[in-house]
Amino acid sequence: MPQNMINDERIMQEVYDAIVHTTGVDRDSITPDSSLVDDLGVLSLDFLDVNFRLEQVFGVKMARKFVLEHVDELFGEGVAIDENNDVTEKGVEVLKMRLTEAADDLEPGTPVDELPALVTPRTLSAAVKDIFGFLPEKSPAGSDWKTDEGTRIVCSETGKPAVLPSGDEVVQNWLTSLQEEKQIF
Amino acid sequence: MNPSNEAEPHFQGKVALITGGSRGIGAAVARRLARAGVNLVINHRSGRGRSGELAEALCREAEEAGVHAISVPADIGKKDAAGELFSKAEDEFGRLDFLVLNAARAPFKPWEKLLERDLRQLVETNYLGNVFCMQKALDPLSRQGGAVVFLSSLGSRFANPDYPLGSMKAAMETAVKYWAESYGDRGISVNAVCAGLVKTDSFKTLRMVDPELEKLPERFFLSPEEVAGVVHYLLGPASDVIRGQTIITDRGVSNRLRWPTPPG
Repeated sequence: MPQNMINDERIMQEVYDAIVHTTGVDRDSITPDSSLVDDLGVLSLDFLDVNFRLEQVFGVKMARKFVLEHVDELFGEGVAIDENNDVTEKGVEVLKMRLTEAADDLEPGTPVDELPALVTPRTLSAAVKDIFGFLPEKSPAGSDWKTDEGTRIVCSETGKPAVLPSGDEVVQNWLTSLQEEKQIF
Repeated sequence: MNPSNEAEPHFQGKVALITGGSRGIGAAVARRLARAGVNLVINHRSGRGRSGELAEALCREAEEAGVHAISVPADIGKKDAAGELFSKAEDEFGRLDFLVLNAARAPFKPWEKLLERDLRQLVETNYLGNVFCMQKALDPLSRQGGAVVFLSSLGSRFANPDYPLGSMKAAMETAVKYWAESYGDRGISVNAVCAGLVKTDSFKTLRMVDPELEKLPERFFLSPEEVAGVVHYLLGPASDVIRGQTIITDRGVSNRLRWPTPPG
């Protein structure tokens, strides 16, 4: 992405706003590494509201599916999630790469139902940044980009919003590259 | 909920079991029935999350309304768990008068992307789970008669993007008709409510799949309480004369192929 279109701090603050706005959680209780489920008491279904709000704010399409769902769709059912709905060794390996510190303590055999606890403001912020990472240097009109209301990226000439891949496409792209590089699946 | 004098003779002192009762339409049905004087078994799926806390809070609300309520975690898609759910209801209350089949769980994905586990989850919770519950409810409902209401959705008859759950809803609407015929002689009435656009957790998912839904005028939407009102009606004396029917409850949205633009 062209540098500093939307800085990291702004993205994190918008993630905080989305959590506060949609769940009523006290803003002072949130840290970048708070588990939305374990620390903030957010229902996993409320993630949908948080994501929807982020989509409205940033003009992006957040991932509908968790990364392990994509692994199984791309590389075969059972690769990341086994028949008991637990995370496999490969699944853990992928999550540690994708979520870094948030997945530090994850072990094979963890029930998939427990994965929403890994979601933190930092992982949500990273998901938004990953999408913005696909912003081309110039708009289709050949112009620079500018921000609209500080959070939406539009063409400085036409005002048209940037067309960015969805969060799901970003994850699929990352997994495909990972496979090409490391052949882990 | 405050203790009220809304208790109704048809309902007072009876017992309802509501699957998926901790939130959304299920919770609204629980509140409506509690006001009518019905004791409650509020089922929610076991697992991580706050559904257990919500179910417990709902029980406390119901107790404040003057009825007795228990929450029972159980994944109705597992036959043993469904059996334990009904055993606990029997142990606690010794009777069952109403069964509200509200639980639903499904992936929102295009059909071609559905994995085997997605399909199994789809069928286990939304078809097998309901059948298990009906099987377990038959004996207690047969003792004094009773009523069953299944919560369906417009996905049973209209294709929605990435909504394979609609196919299970359609199957269940047919099962409702079969059950009404099979068990009517035992004094058991079975009907369904096919709800339109209701802003529950399910809608949050639908909205992510089809953002255009967010632009629909408010008059197209129902509240969970309005749907609960229709469930209450079908559990009431009307159940004597309405059998095996699916009542579309959608503010008439599905009556037209198209709406004037802009709608609203």
